[in-house]
Amino acid sequence: MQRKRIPLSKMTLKRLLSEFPTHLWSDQEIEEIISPQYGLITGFEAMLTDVDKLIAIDLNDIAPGDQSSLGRE
Amino acid sequence: MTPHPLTSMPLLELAALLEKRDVSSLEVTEAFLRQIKKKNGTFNAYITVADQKARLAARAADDQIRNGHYRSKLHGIPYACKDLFLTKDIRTTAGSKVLSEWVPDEDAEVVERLNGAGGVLLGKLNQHEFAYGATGINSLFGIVPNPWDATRLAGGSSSGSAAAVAAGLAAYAIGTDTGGSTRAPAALCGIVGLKPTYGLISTKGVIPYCWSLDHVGLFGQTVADTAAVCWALSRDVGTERGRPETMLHREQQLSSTNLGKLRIGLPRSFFFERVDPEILMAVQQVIRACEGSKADLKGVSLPPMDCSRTVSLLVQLPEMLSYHSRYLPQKKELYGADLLSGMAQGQFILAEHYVHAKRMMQLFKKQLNEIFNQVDLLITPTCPIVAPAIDSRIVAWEDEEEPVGNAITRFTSFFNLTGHPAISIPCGLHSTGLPMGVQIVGRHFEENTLLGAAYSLERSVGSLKRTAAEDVGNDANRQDPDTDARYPERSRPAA
Repeated sequence: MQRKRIPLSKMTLKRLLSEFPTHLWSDQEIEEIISPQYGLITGFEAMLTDVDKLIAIDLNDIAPGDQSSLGRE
Repeated sequence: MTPHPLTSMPLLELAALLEKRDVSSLEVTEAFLRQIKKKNGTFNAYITVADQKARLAARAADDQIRNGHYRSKLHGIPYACKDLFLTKDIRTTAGSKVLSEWVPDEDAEVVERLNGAGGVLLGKLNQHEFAYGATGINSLFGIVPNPWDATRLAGGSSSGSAAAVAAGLAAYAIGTDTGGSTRAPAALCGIVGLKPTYGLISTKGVIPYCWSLDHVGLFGQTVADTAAVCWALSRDVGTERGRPETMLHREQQLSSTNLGKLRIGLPRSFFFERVDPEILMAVQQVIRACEGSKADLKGVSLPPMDCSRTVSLLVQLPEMLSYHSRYLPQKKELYGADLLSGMAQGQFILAEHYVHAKRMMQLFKKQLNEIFNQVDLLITPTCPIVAPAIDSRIVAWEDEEEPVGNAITRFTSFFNLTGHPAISIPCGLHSTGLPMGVQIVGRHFEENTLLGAAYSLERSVGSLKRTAAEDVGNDANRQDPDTDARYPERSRPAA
């Protein structure tokens, strides 16, 4: 059964920052994650909605690719 | 007939003049340096101009050619590279205050190879800071306006590379492509942009943005120009892996490719949805040209694409953050706000989601390789929009709004996930006067088929006249000192 996720809040992110070993991010940087203004990438909430769909895909035993099979050193 | 300046000639035409010694590398280099001096204030294409080093390299090339040591089509040809490539004794900023005074003591492998082939490095090109972002906006070194309309963006992240070639400030240019950063600005600026197969061109000495998706990208005026640079830079990975047929570096293959013998796949969904109608029409014209050449056209069902941009970001953002963790503790305040917010977003991506995205890459690659058992090439629009206005943030479609960066790379980023080679070639002018591009995608390491088809289609559809680009910010162009009656205007098909 798929769980129902509540929308991400700034408070959640700030709490994670205080309790996890992370870099230091300002209020402005966290605000941009919640309400993106720059128009460069998907906002985090929209990304998480996609992630919900992606992790529902059963990838069987496919290993993560590093594309080394394509010849990169 | 109006004489044509040296700086507008395609690379291979310049190469022919150099080989015959009708012109010297120093003359050509001085012509480009004059153009840069005259126009860079408008275009912000160059961050650093290496004029003295360029003159030295040009003189050395002239000596070698004069002494009978003509090395390659790139010998004596002035080029420029994105400021993400390490250059020995030349400042390398990555478009950022973080590295604003860094002078490396070695060249990136690509630069080493081009200089070794006799290339003349003119300087380092503007970009989105550390290659983050498809708009190419750079708060430190300035926005790169589109050479076709200065109120529009050149696109990014290799903004300076695209603008430099489109505006005649370099014969060809090198950039990178992690989600479309070569193909998209090439399409928006009306030139050719090639992202070769992942791994075909070395990324050694290129400041990383995202190791899993970074490709070196090539910009040229024509497909043949771009192919010449690709061949000079390609590693023989095909040969090493027992596939000697995949990279036969033969120019003849370009002109001998017969579209009529190729099977061309047209994606049934995603790539032809939410696209400017005029871009759709232009791409359909390209498809009709394929049809006219008796190519075998097939509808193909690609893997579900709706989340492919998110898969790409799930890989990009944590990898970017991981690289920049070396600078963040001491230099965080030197980064641009947009890049910092992207890194902050990367901080909150769960490890499981990153790994899932890397596994999705493998799935997409497998699925696309299966499609390439049925067809030889795919055709799609490069971008769903023409160059957006400089202050654009959102593209409004009937059913939804899309961040402009997502829109620019919507049709390109999937092929970074799979590593397939892809090229954008111009396919006409929009009613706004802006260029439009069509993307052609091929099998891993089959660049020759891809380039051959692109060459053939370029001849059918026509490359764009660069007159419009050259007029932006350049009233003096009409009395250009480089104009020389020895070099008549080349005949280019109208768009």
